[in-house]
Amino acid sequence: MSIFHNTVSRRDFMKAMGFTGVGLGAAALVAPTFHDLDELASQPGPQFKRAWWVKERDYENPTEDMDWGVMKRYNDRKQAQSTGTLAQYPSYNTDLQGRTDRGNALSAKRLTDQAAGYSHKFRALNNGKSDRATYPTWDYTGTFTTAKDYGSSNTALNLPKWTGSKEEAFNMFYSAMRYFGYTWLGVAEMTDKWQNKLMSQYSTTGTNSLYSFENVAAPAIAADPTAVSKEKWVIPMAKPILGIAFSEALSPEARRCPSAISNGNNVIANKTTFLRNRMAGFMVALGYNMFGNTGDQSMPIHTGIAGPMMGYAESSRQNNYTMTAETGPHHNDFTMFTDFPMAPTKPIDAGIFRFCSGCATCAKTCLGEAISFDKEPSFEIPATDGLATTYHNPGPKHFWSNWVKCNNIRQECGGDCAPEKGGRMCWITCPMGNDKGAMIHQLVRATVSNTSIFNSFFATMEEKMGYGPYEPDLWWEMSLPVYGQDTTIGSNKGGYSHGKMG
Amino acid sequence: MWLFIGLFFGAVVIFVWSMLKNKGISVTWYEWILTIIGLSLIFFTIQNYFASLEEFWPIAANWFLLIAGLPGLIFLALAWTLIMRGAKKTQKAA
Repeated sequence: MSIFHNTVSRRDFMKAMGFTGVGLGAAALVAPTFHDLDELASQPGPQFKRAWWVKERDYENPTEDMDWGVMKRYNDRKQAQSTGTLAQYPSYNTDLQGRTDRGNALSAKRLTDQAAGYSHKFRALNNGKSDRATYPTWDYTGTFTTAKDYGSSNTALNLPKWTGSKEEAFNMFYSAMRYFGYTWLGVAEMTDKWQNKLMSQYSTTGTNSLYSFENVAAPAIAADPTAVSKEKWVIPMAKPILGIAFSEALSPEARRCPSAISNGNNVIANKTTFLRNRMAGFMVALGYNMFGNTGDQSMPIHTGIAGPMMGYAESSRQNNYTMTAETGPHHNDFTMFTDFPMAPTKPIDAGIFRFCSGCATCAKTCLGEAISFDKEPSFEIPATDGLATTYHNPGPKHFWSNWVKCNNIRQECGGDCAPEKGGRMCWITCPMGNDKGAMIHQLVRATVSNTSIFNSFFATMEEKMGYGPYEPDLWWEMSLPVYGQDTTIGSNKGGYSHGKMG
Repeated sequence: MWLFIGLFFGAVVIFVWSMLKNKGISVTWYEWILTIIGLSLIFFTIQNYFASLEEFWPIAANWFLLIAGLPGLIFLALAWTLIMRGAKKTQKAA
């Protein structure tokens, strides 16, 4: 007899449901389940999140056994980092000088032989790693006085100038920069376009300088012959000079939880100073130089153009503020010059600038109405208050922001853009600055990069699905990365591999 | 989580496969496609739902249940109904 009209018996069905229940139960066990923000906020705080197999024990009961009856307070003078302690023991005193001599000879041989791990580039890396209080600003020499292990310059190390391919040089420079704390690197040869079109001619009034490309050997500062500024800062072109832009990932949550920390770049560590000093130390040990003033008002390379031209970011509707493919508007840049011959970097296309045409979320949420609502970018720079706009440079096809309105709303709102909560709404609401945990974000990024037909839909869904500012106090509940920055971006080593996805 | 989901999914596939085989039920190509689409949507929903909660976006998490989870269930239900209807016809013909 054939089975009754349904080929799956009730027993089979219930069995399948049982599997389903077990599966969902398992999934629920291993994933945090929050049903609303109140429930989420009532969690006991971020704590240090460990894997589920790490169990917590009672106070004063670590995994090693303790004999509390025997234990007394210890005298640290007797510990083994003290020579006096070591000298009590015969095995330390036996052949002490011989051991030291052999160790010194081995160290010297490693340096002479350029042994693996002690090659020129590692010594340069160590030279940069050592703490430095200074860097060359607008000269080549600087004051390197705090070298520790290997001396400071290549001549002090008895090494020739480092030589290699431009690609190898870029890789070294990039790896050192990552080690010293920054995320993205852009490099450009100072071609005619850079010298005659892209570089600023004068600094802001405060810095008071004319930037001048001259056929001289080293950077210099002299009086400004045009008399517009006080000084002229000479960029030496007797040998090829590269413009470099360093960019670091910022903390999106420090902005998206609008608060007193949301202003500006929200970096907690002054890594600009930290990085430039160390990179200069790295360069000088290789026999090359870096110079520049790093500030966006005291360097001729404008960061708004450095990102798109050098390829670590794209232009955006936010005009001055560029977007990286990984963090959107959440990055901080500075620029320098170097004579280190590296391969330049190319511009990128992640579809971000095209996406901005279909999305105007930042413009909609800007209370100052400073950001353009235009559907497409334009070469035409709009007037400001009926007057010619001087704060834009014609040439790019852009979405042109009204920086006077931007300034006014920030003044009106005590330095922020949103009077109720603070924060800068353009950066907070930008869909390109979304997280990376949910698959949808990478799906959107990949789609946006390849077609623009869904751009408006994605922008609309972004608003519908409730993305935007968090409640400020949620910041205290989030278990954020150190410094609030995702340092795994760009990491290709397995083990940090989620950085590969951006 | 994905280890457990993978184990669970593998067990379900083995169970369904053996059940269909034992009962001589054939599955047409479009029923397979509907099943694959449904399962893909369900997996997509699970990933995005939990990840959105971890990202502190509960509204977005619920949206995924609606825009991906519900269609995923509909696809699976449709596939199941068609398979059962086909099986019924086969049995009647026999």
